[in-house]
Amino acid sequence: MRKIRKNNSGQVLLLAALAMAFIISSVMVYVYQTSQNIRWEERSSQLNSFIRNVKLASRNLVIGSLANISWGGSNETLGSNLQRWESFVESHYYLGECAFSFELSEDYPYSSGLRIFWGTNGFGVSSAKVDYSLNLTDENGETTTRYSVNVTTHITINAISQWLWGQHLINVTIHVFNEDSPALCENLTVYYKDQSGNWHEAGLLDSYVLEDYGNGTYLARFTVGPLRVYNREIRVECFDQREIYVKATTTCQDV
Amino acid sequence: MHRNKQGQIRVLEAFLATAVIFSALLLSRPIYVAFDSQDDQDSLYNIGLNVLVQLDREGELGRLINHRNWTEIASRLSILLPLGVSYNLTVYDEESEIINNSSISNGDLNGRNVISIEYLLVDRADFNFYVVRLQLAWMK
Repeated sequence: MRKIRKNNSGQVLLLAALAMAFIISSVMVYVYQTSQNIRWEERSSQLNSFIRNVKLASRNLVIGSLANISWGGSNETLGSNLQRWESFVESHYYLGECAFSFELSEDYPYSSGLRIFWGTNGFGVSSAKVDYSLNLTDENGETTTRYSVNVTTHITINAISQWLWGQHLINVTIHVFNEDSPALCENLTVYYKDQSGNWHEAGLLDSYVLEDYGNGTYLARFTVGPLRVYNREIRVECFDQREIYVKATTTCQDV
Repeated sequence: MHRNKQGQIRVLEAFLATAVIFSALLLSRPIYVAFDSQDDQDSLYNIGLNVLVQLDREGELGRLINHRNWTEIASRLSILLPLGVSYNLTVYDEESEIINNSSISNGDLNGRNVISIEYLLVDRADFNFYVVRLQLAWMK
């Protein structure tokens, strides 16, 4: 009996070792499976990265196109750039199939994705709106992302003219907005109309002062004289920091 | 004599048991290493992508590429990337031709675990499209 127990002890040791090896192997398989899940998450993260990339670049393209159109470029620029961008994106997706499309907004007041209105009532807007659809397909499934890019620069101006000592003291208050949030100007030029109906740049006058409040509000002050002009027209032209051009005209309020 | 043989068998069995356990440990080690290194690679990928997005947010990266200002790009990358990360940036045009005529990097990436980020870029001024490939590796 004693002899049998002695013989068994070695086998128990081996069985214990095998059990431990089995446990270690199980842990190994568990870790492997977890890492497979992480790989799937990594794939999903790569998809999201691509979508993020395309969204940002699409926005940059609309900004660039609007800057070009607002400064005299053809309205067709937006559509043709987007068509090039569409095929560029589709040909640079390697994780599966990519179908990318765009639609220029026709929602009022947009026409062919554009809204450019430079009014005489103190309001001017340059805007572009495009709806995109990005469909990505691979062996794991299909993802469709729809998003809209709206780039809008608008200004509002208000001018007050005060007849003082034989001269007009003119104050022009300008507010600049990007997507309805106050924004800074890259370049701002104020013009006034003389009694003959000719436009002159106010910045060339010695009396011209432009105050920048740093919050999208600007105040231009200058004096023009000596002939008195009622209902003088003032025009403000502005390039925002994205190089988008916008202008607005208003009539001075005589006080 | 019989007792001595039994002792030798016990020793052999013990060695065998140890070998079984260690072989299991050795087999599982590469997976742990891969698992750890995957985490590092993921964080490096996210860092690189965020840096590119940051540079591109106001269209700055496209402008620098359009002006072929490779020195400035390298300088911006060196500032934005954390210390201990080596990078190499390659810029391709729409025809997949490399356009950076000088190297945009801060060291050699050979022999390291390198991750690669491909980023599509639009130049706002002239509407050129570029593909930017940023390769990153942790310095040893």
